[in-house]
Amino acid sequence: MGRQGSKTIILLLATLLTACVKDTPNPNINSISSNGSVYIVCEGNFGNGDGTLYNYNTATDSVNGDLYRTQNNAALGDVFQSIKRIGDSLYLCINNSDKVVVLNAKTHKEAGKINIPKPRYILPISPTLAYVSTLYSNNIYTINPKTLQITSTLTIPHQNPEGMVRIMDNVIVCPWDTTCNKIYTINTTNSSITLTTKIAGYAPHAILVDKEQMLWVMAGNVTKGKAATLTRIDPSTGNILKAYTFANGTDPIKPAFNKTRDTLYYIQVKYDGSTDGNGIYRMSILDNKLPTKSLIPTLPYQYFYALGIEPSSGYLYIGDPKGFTQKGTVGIYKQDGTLIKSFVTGLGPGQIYFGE
Amino acid sequence: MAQKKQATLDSVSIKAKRNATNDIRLNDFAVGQKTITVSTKTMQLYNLQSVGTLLSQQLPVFVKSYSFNGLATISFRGASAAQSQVLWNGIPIQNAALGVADVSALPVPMINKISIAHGGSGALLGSGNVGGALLLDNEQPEFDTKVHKLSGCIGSGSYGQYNGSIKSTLTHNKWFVSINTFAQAAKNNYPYTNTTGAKHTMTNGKLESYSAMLNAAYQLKPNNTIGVSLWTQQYKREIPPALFEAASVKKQEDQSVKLLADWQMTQTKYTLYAKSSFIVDRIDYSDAAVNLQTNNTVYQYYQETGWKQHMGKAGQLLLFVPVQRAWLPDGNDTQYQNRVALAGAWSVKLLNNKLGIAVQSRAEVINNKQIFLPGAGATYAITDKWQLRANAQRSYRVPTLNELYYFPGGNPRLRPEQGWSQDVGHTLKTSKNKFSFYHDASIFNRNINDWIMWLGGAIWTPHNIAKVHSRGTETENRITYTTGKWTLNTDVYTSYILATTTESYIQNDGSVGKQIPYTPRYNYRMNIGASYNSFYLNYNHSYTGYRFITIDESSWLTPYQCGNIQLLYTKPFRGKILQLSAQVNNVWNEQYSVAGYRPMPGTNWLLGIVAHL
Repeated sequence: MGRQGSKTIILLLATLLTACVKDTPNPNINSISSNGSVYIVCEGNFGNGDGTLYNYNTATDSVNGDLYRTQNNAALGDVFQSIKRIGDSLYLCINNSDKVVVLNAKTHKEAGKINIPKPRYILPISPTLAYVSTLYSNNIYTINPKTLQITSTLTIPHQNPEGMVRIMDNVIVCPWDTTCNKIYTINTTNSSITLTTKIAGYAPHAILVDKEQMLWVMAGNVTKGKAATLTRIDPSTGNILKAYTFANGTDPIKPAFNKTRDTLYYIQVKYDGSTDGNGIYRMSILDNKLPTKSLIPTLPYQYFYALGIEPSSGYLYIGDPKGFTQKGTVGIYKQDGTLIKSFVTGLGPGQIYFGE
Repeated sequence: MAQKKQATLDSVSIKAKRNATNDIRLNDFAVGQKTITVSTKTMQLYNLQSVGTLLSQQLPVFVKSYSFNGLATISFRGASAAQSQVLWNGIPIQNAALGVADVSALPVPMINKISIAHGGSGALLGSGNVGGALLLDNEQPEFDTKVHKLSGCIGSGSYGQYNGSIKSTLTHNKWFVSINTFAQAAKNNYPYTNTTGAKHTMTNGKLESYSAMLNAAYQLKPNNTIGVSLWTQQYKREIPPALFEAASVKKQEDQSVKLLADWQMTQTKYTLYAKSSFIVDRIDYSDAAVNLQTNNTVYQYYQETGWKQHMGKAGQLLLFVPVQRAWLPDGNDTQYQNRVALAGAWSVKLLNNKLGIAVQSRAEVINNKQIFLPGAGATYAITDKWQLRANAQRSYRVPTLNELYYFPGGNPRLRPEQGWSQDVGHTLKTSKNKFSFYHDASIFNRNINDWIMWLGGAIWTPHNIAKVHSRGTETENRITYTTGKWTLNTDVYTSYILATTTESYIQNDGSVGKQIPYTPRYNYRMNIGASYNSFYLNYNHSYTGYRFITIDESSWLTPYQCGNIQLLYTKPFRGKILQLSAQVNNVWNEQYSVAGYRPMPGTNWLLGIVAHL
């Protein structure tokens, strides 16, 4: 080929060997040092199968990432919705993987699995009975946490049984259905609906009990044109004590009471990048109006997606999913909204659980 | 009746240099832009497969298959799928709502020429031409001859795969008519290994599709032609479960109708042309498990009128007016996007054709917003074997109808993505004795502002949030050795792409400095082939590097490699031509996913026979 051929080969090699950046990614996953007291449910990105369980140890101020994969060498699943401890086990609702994963609470090794379509939340009733709410059906499943078997299927009149609360022998269920303006009381001894209670709005999705044993029901589905409402109800009579209607387009989610259950906190979410009406809000159970100013505002393009109140300190743990496109963060705030610290979590922190 | 028949393989190289497209804009005025045209032989090898499969195995672009039976999109040089344009006979065919074209639903037998143009050429091609363009063309009509070509092809492969196509071309005096049809069915019940290592058989993977295209042209006068093309398709696909799903009942049905009318008059000094297209795309998606059923139909009309004038011995001027209107009915409301542009380009060859120069510009109004896109390119032949090129373009992408108006989550305040791209490169071509050698290398750089990303949770909303810097190198290398009846060839394509976020409007954004998701840094494609008389045997190997699935590089998919063996045998038989093809895909049985948790098939085969009658 001669001189020209040599030059050609040199040029070829020069352009073939232009690889500059090492292609191997940095794993950067923390190892487990010990069990912590705060679990962070990281939903993951819908369709990517990257839900993860994180743990924050308040004593050592350390974060343990992706506990399930570390202990079980497998991915947890798609859309990790919620977690609940029953006895010595943790029950993890993996919504889009149609399963409830059961972990040993100490080792985080998988102890079993219950196949349930689109599970959302678990409500323990006794050591041998728990209720599992589901999306896209009218069904609530009862399971035996000891045998990990489905024991029965309860059907309610509306779709999407979502939030549940237990009072004595009753479970009160919120069907997150835009045609529904009621909540249903189910007697746990005979599994029958014993009371139907009307609320102020449609599509109830969360329910709590305050210090006076009154119910607080959050409802609404902004995308389907159902305005958000908050209703305070006397469970013994079914009477509405107070009704609050949120401004058009307001999307309140994930309410939580403080330790004394006299102050309600909730998230208002805005996905449009604006800060107005976006953040953490707080109100007394005695207030007659909804708060207009946020306790903890967001930055542009930010919104919060998880809210938990630590029982002992009263600190607020607030999850920022950062658009569900990267690792999220959890910020720890004093009750006056002052940020104490924050730490990095998995993708889409959606629930803070204190393990009881 | 005369017949054009092909008794032997028509081309030695896998990719031969031809005009990249029939599009005047690119052929004559995209000076300095790198293009690759798929050779006829490679088209024959993939005669029963999709353009997406051909691209993923043969060319240095990234094809993202969302699942084996699902949407597949292309991206060039670190651009997003919506920034990578797809043109059919010069008109954009991306779904106007999604901004992307599904290359898994583009059958190779419907197309006569496939090319890719690397890099943006916004002034010539308009919105969405940021990273590059996929160019699909049908054959140019011929007149004043009597030609009747008819060919039929049937094929069968692993996992219940059956394919068939019929192609016919008839020319008679002033008329030209060609018809291409293609149908396929597959069960896609292939084995795979789940996350725990257990073996399973894929379910809910059936595919049925048909595609038909009519091209008709009439010669009004010599060099004065009108034509019409109609392309209709239907794809019925089941979407298999991802590895994290116990089962899937998802189904998708895609229907599209593309109608194109064109006229061209060529005189000694000038050419006038006009083309109008109307495209309807409908996607019905259902998932009974979550009570979900969506039906989306989107319409787009495209009109382009142009005038090309020769200026002196070596200059050419092009002026053209593209008009595009897309609309998306949404309940009682309909959302529109209107674009009108005036574009021009000038090219000239100087110094005994050693130096080629072109400048381009486009002024466009999009729903009352204005944008100006300039560009320029040049080539210089240092010797008859060594040529340099350079190109600089302003690029932009208008937000799609879905990004603007989808409910819930559409963001009508979105601004277009826009920025500048530059690339330089060189080509070496030489031959000595029985060897021929081809080498091409490009270095590119691109900065895009207001990059659109979807952020979400319960509702996903697109935002202009970032500045993205893309840069990298691409090479194309080919050596051919011919002796007697033997021809040996090898080619290697490489691409190295860094596409990183440089700024973000989000505070403490973990994406800054990190690679854009689903943009592999490394892509390699290689062929080693041998032909003897009418036999051709080829081994193809591809490597696709890490793909990050989050914007902060915290989650990724591991690289994969695929090897494929292809055999082609052409034989005259009783005055006809028979062509037999055999392919073994993924010969090393690599277990891999292009997108997360969507396993692709292991080793599989496909046999085909074509009869040219």
